[in-house]
Amino acid sequence: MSKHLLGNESFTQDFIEVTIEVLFTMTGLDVESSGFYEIEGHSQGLDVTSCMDITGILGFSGGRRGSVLLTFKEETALKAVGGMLGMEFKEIDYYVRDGVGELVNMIAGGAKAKLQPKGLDFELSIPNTISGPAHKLSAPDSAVRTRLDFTSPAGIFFAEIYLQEAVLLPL
Amino acid sequence: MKILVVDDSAVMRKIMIKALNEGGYTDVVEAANGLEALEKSAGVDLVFTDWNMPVMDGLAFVKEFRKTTQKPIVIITTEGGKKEVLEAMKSGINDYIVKPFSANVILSKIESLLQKSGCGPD
Repeated sequence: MSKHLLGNESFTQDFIEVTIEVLFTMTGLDVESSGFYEIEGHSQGLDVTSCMDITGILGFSGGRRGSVLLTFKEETALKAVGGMLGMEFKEIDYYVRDGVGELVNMIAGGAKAKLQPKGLDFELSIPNTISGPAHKLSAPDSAVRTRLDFTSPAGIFFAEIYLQEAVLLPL
Repeated sequence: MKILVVDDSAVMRKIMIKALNEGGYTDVVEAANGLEALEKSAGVDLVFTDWNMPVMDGLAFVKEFRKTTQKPIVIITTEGGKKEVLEAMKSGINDYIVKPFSANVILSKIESLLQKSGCGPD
């Protein structure tokens, strides 16, 4: 078995496909995947949020524990949430934070629906959003996370998935 | 027709209300969780509710709402797995929408529910 759930490329592909679908349907942004790779716990130089302005994060519990995050530069987040509401935003406010949280919520839910038939199940928590220049999120030293890179007309953005190792459930 | 929109996300409530207004449904009340929804549910003809919410979630709200009325309820959720959909249907909802969705899905659900109730266009 892979050391990390997302070492299985098909699971990574599920998260990529869901992210593209959610962003296109809700924001109108034509998003493309530009790669993915695993990050070890001590790879601080690869901390995905450290050069970003707003991050939505949602925890997994139950069958598998972990989290998924979605992180944007300010201008990308403003355009994404602006696309959701058909409005123009000038700064990160209550609605932008709420919208980014809702996007990560939909990505987590969509991925769960794709992974359930493969014997992987987890419960979703309520999403939270952190904003501010160069904010930093820490993961356990032992955590192996999978970072997904995306491009869009509104700018690049990233997702990161962390799921603790567990035995696959029988189908 | 009075419609109640329940979602802890202010953005999602705005998206829903905009879609309903554009479809001609302007009598809309909103609530941020199930408990607030129960307080505002008097006289509503149709409910769109999120599932995963703080304070009181969508399924708990549906169970309480069903104690007093059989008015149609559509649950809108990211929980689109087979297990979750079955659980929601057993709780007493009439239909469901999986996020992400486009605005016209909301209006087509209303039409479908009205036709089932015999109130839709011929």
